[in-house]
Amino acid sequence: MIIDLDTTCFDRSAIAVPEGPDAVSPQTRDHPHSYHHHHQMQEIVPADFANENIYSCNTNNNHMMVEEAIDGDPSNTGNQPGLLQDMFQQLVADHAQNQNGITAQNSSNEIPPMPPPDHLGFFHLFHLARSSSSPSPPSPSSSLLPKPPLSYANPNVSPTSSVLYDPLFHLRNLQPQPPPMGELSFPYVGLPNEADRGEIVIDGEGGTTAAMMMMYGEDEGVLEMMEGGNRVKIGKRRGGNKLTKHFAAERDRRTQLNEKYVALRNLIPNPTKFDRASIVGDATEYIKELLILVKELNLILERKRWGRERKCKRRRVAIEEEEEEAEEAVDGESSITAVTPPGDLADWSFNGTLRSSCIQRKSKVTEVDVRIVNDEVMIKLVQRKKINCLLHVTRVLHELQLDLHHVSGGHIGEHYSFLLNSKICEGSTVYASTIASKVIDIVDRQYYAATPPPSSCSY
Amino acid sequence: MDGLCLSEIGGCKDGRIGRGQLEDDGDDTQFKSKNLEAERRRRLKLSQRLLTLRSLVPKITNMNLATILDDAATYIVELKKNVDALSDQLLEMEASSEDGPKALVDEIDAVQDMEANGIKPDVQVTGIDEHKLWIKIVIPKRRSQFTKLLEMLSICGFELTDTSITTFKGAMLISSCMEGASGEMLKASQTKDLLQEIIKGI
Repeated sequence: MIIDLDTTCFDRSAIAVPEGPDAVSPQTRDHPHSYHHHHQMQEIVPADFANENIYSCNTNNNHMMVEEAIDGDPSNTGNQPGLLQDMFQQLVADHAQNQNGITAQNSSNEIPPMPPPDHLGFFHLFHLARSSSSPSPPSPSSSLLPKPPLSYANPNVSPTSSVLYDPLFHLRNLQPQPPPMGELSFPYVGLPNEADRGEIVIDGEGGTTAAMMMMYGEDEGVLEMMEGGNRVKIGKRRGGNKLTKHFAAERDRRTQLNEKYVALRNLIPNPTKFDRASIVGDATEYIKELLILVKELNLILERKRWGRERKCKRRRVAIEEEEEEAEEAVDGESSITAVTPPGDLADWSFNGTLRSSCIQRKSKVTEVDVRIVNDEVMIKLVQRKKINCLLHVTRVLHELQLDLHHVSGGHIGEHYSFLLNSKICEGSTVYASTIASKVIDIVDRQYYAATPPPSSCSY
Repeated sequence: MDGLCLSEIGGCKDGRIGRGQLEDDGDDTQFKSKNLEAERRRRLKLSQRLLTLRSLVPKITNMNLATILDDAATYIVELKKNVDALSDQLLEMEASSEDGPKALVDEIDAVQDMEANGIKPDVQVTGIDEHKLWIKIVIPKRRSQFTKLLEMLSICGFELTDTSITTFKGAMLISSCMEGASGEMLKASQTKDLLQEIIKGI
């Protein structure tokens, strides 16, 4: 590696590593002079280079460069690019060496072999390196310094967003052109574990320091933001892998939770409000109603079957009697009538279990309370005084084949309140919920359809 | 309390307006704490309702919020399926069973019953007020009698306000206050004739 401490001339095009010896020459970049970078660089140096036992003069050089970089002020572009390029080159070269033995040969003359490429370190380098891009547009081959972690982990993210969500954007006195993400002519393209792009090894291997992780974590934070966390603000830099992981997990958890709320709401027939508490409340009531419905249905079915059985039994008995009678050649009428049990209707309804259900419905202007015990239905209705709701309710009951026995009620304050007792006609099956829904529905409709002077409403 | 707080859609809390917008900084702490209180109450309400929801659902896997909602949703679906299946069964049964002509029997019996018990059909009308009448009607109770009566009355522009209806031995007694729907003046005798006509017609 040829790094001239004093000059700033570097062969930019040589940055694409697999291309040969030229590749290792660094580009001139503006040094990223954020404190941030300083920190990281400071810490990267020992970490990175500590692992490399082979470096001799280069290391020294690097150290020197690093120190200068650290000490130097932002305006000093002389030596600093070299440092970054240096580290960059080393890692790159090392990888190149590992991958293509031949190519590395040349570079290895200059750069002693390094330990297995440290992805994190590499990312870090890229991160730094990117920030130090010079004003002149880098050549395509050198544009492999886009935001590497982003592209690494999520190649699908659009290039534009990379700029938006770059937490360090404001820190890099940047020239306006962010290297497009898509063009990742990344030297590591051919890496074996490239397939695993989605999984970034966070607890990196080989000497990643806290600083690097922090850096990395930021990048991942950026990545996460881009991936669709619309709740995280731009530039969130808590730092630390664990924290960003946490944010991501938390956000996922939140979205999933919201989805579940929506799913629950979709099951409920009449959701009025759309906030969590009322969704849960409505769901609870709906479940209760469904339970009542199921109970009622079961009872009705049971009774029907029971009733049928009895009928069958009676008929069977009657037939037997008939046959007997016929055999005995006696007048069969009387025997048959004798067999018919009297008042079986009453017995039928007391099958052992009492059917009881209670359903309430409320609307803005109406309240309906329906209670069913066996075959008696009690309906309580309260409505703001406007129309003759009694008429409509009786109509509904007539439709439902309910036999009105008793009605009482009238005008109380601002409301009409009525209590209706009716009987279910035999053979018809109505459920409490049906009754309640229908009543309140029709009554409400009539209410709203009525013109202010409550004249006769057409039904 | 909830007036000033925008309702959450999907749990987004971004639109929440605190209550401290009316007063200046001096009252800030007071309003802030009110908001805090409101928020606390809101959360309590939510958690209570969640608990009740959980208590209803028989199948509980885990005890965390997400599974409550999930389990509740599956339970609702299951119940719905049950209801559908059962009502299908019921429909089948109804289709195959015979519906006896019992209704007619009842009606015929009613008239006979009434007569047997010495209850006579009757119409009485008395004026209470300029706009109110009190009526008393005794008619044999048949299936649709009352409905028809009400309908006819409403067509004629009457409305029953305070009503009491009872059924006894095939007769139905209607005792009610009646008003003109549009507040017109009613005369007792005329109304009585009208009512009698109506009853005959039913």
